Amino acid sequence: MRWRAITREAWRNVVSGTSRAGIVAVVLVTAAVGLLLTDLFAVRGIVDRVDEFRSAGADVLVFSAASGVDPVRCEGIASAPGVHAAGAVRRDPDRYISTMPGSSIPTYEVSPGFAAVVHAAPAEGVGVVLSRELATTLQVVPGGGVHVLADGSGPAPTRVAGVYDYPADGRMSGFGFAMLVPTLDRGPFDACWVRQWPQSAETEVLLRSVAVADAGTDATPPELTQLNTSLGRQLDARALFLERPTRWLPLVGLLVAAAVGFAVVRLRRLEIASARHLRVPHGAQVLGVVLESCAWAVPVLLVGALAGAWVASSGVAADRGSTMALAMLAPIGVVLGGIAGSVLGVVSVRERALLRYLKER
Amino acid sequence: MSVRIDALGHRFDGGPWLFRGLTSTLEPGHVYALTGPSGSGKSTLLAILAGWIQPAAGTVERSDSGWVTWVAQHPHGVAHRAVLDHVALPLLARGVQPRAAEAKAQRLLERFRLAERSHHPFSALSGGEAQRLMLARGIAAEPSLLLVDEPTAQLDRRTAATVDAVIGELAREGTVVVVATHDAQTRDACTDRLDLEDYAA
Repeated sequence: MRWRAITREAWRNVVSGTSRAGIVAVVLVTAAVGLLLTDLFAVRGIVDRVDEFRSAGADVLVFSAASGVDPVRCEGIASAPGVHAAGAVRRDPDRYISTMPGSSIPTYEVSPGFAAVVHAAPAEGVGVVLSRELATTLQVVPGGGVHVLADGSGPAPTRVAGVYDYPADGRMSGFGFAMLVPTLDRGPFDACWVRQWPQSAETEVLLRSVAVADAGTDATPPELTQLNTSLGRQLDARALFLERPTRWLPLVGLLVAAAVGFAVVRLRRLEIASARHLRVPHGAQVLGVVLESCAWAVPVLLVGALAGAWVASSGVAADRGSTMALAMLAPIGVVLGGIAGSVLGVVSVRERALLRYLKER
Repeated sequence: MSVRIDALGHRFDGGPWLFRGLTSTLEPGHVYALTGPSGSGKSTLLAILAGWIQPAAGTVERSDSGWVTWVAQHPHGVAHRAVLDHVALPLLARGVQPRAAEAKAQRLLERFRLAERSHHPFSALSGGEAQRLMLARGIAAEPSLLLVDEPTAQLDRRTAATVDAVIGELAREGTVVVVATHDAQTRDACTDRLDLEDYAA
């Protein structure tokens, strides 16, 4: 049977409604879109959990050793894989601001990388970094200035280089209403903070290496903690993604579509067996059914891509490309399953069963 | 193609024999009327000759591997496909170009007085028209052995005579034709007769 004749037959089967492509398209488009949206929204839930975990500072590890942290080694951790920022911090005497001289301001000296750990925005140039609550109280913004009173001396004009958010959401106390004073001093600090993602045990090993000799005392030994423990110690986003229950949905789509494709072709078993009896080759029938499948496969892929693009543009995940790739798994599974089921349906039809098919009509 | 039938018999699942001891040779150029009362195994014998059923006894040997086409008593087509498409399909299947296949299919439809229905869907045909279409389609496959089950059961006398004539022409062209029939006129139009009543157990 010539290629042109096969395409002609497939086309006529589609336009005449013989292949039932319309109803199959409706069923499989609905299945594909339903499955892809279910999976994408499950992934969205994981992304939201990660965002919540990270924005709460649960991704920050704190190595504390009173006057026992080497700030240079601490900052050096920032170049380790997965580490986004690292910086040292130590308590400094409280300061006073000229506009509220009656209130002492908890003050910390920090190494230059520390501002990035607390997401001070923007933290550029020289100057102090204020917590959001303090900045709001003082009604200053980054780039503005305050007059700091220190050690009983006169007010010194100081530039505000940045502001950081530090809500009371379970994170370590002491920094919600505070001022950070960057310093290049290489003397010992009290703690080293590291922001890392994804979490890694190697970073913890690195963190412990920032301790100077004889760091800590028997009363307060060095300790490694999490800035915010309220959301749990670990969040393995990769495992959550790989083990999400909806990861099987593309496979479910494949199996459902295979069943639909098989059933729809088997409904035509008399027609197929009869055609084979009239010399239509087996291979031509398989090829014909695959061609007919395009009539529903194209809508499934197109609508799937549109649904994926819609979800990607709505910001479910940061990476649109990954979202699209994930979104297309279910439609591709549905198409592959549908075609496989259809082919299996054709192959399962027996010419010698023509009499039985006639009786089953 | 000739078909050698030797001591053929059949029964289903150890039940009573439908027929047994049937021996005959079917030769090209002959039209065999397969007769017998209902339930005597006419359709079963056709299925055995088609190779779809293994006989319980005896053998069927064909002289070559020519094509066998079986035309069922009850017409079956693709509801929404045109009449012409049904007849063109066996021609296309053998590699005939679509245009040539349609032209040849149209001539076959004229032989069965269906030319004016060529672009109608199968579902629009009457029972008699559908029966003739099945014959036209079966002939389009150019079989060496044509097995026809009750071809004139749904036809009026005039149309049945046309069908009988076409079947006769086919036989003269070298096809072995076996027609299972209850119809006396069709039986008389055949060149030979196989009466299963003669082989009843």
